[in-house]
Amino acid sequence: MESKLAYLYDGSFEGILTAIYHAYYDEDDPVAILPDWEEGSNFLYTYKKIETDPNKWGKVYEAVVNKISHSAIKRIFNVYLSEYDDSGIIILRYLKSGFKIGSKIDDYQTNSAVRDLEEIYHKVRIEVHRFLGLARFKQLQNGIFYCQIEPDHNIIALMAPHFVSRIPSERWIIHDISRGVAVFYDTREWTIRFIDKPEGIVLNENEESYQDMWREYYKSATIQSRRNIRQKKSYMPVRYWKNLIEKGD
Amino acid sequence: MDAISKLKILSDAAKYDVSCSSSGSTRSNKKGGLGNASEAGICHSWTDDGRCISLLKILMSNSCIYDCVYCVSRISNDLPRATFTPDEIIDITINFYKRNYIEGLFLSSAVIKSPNKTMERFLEIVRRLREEENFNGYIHLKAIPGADREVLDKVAVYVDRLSVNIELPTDDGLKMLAPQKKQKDILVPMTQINEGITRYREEKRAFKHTPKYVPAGQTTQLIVGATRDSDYRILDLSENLYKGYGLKRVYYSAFVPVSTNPLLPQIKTPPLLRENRLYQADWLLRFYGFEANELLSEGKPDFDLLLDPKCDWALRNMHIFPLEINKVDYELLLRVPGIGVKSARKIISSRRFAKVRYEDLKKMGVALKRAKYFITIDGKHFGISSMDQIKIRSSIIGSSPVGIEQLSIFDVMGGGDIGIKTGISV
Repeated sequence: MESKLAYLYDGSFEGILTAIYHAYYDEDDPVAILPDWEEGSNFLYTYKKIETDPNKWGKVYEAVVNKISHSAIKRIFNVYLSEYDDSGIIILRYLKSGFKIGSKIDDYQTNSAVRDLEEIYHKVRIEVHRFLGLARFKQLQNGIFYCQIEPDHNIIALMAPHFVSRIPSERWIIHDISRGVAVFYDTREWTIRFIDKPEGIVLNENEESYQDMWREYYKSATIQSRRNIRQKKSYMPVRYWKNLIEKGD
Repeated sequence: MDAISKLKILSDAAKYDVSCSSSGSTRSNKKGGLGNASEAGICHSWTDDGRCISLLKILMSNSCIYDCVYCVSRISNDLPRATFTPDEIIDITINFYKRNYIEGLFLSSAVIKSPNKTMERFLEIVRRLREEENFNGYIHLKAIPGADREVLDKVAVYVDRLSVNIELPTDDGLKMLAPQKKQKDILVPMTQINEGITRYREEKRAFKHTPKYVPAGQTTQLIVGATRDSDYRILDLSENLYKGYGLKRVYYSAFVPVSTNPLLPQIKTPPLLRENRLYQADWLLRFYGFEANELLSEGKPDFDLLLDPKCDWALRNMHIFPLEINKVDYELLLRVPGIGVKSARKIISSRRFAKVRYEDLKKMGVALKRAKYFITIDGKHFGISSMDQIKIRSSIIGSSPVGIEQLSIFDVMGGGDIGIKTGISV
């Protein structure tokens, strides 16, 4: 059996763009573009390591913006953050169509590459939107507002700007505890750092009373004669519940 | 009484107001301020009845001077009473907001002492939130009919949305169940708000820094099933409110039995399916170019509970179907059951590049189990061989429940636990 070519990149967005560059200029036809920790995961694949190169990814970035659109860059960045195994190859197929068709690419709903990309993009955007609502901050003793989440996709960087414009005068942290990364905001700018799950956090003295009020509010807002847990779960999947303050049935 | 006990009483009483939307406003944050309003609205949680929590929805007070028989807070009802101070409401709002529990505040109230007194207390709260706390999150305020024009115009500058509850679809219903209220009095503040919004839009063209006036518009709510009014009466009223008063939304609230007054119908569960049909029809009025008298008439005053209103309409108008997907214009596409605004737009934009095929439709989000009876794709029909409305009707009802999942006859009889789906494509 003929083995199939898989690209390995370093896991960064720049890495994926460099891989796109090679797919064009090396005239390869990879069937997968994977982060390098996936090496050896499929015995049918022959792996080729791609070295991230600023000249190469810079050219791809500019080509996408100039020949397709700004929105195309935004879309592929979101799809990259989905962390799906097939996101790399879907980005390549999308860009191949995009370079042929140009800025109107996203109207081509009958093109399967456009649709596949759209589908993942949509999933990521939905999760971002959900977490703009489901993120819960707790005030710590030192005044910082701290929030833990465990999203399906790597979305903290996509969430940060929303909270910067909304709560600009407080220091806050959004911590993706499953990936061990967090956004830190110090009232001037935000940065992303790797950080483990904290132990023994001390809450602000008023924190518990606001949490109690919120739980009380949550409970009494239900109209018992309209109970519909199935609908609640369809809007707010159970996997998202564990970092909430409020708990229903 | 401490704040948490008041919260329990005053959120419990406010929950029957169905609107919780935080959409339609783009208020941005100011320097050093707290919060902004997101155009699309954000849900922060969902209650056990499947409804979204977006705003802190509370009454300022439940000590009412009125005695409307359908209302929990009526003066003759024996229940614990509470009134928040402005300080308490402001503190809870700000601290809930900073913890990202809510998008903002939805403040309503029983009428304490007089409509004017109630509105003046509202004014103090919203003014202090905006000016002293620099709070720029969403504020929805319930306007109290009977208050002076001046105080209404003053609160309008601070809030994103105002609503006046129309309560019941007809004046006769009000006379019977809410003798202290008249439809005329309810329409007065609606008219004033509508005029204020229009004036604001005109002035804004001339002066850049015109103070905002209810930027997210006004809404209303009416109770369904507490009186004998037909769906047609209700939908006709909604249409008039949209056209004549520029309302953003009319909310329908299935009557929840909160009292055993002999004037009220004796029902065990709220008429949720009927409420759902009204929401679907409301959607057709606002986004699909339908008019109330196309959907219902004096001769057919109520919706078919087994079919969504668009299917129901299509089956009564079989002479225009089937429509050819690759030719028909946008307005008619929207009238095909199973095709929503989004999928219609996708069909139109894709058609410019390539013919749309059957398999594309599914991927564009078309509900083919309904649409297939009413369309052809390049001349080919995928429904049943007959275009007979009775056969199609039974085929649609038989193949899958429409609009509602797992609809059984038990549900239709009013015993089941059916959810509302207000945003679905119909």
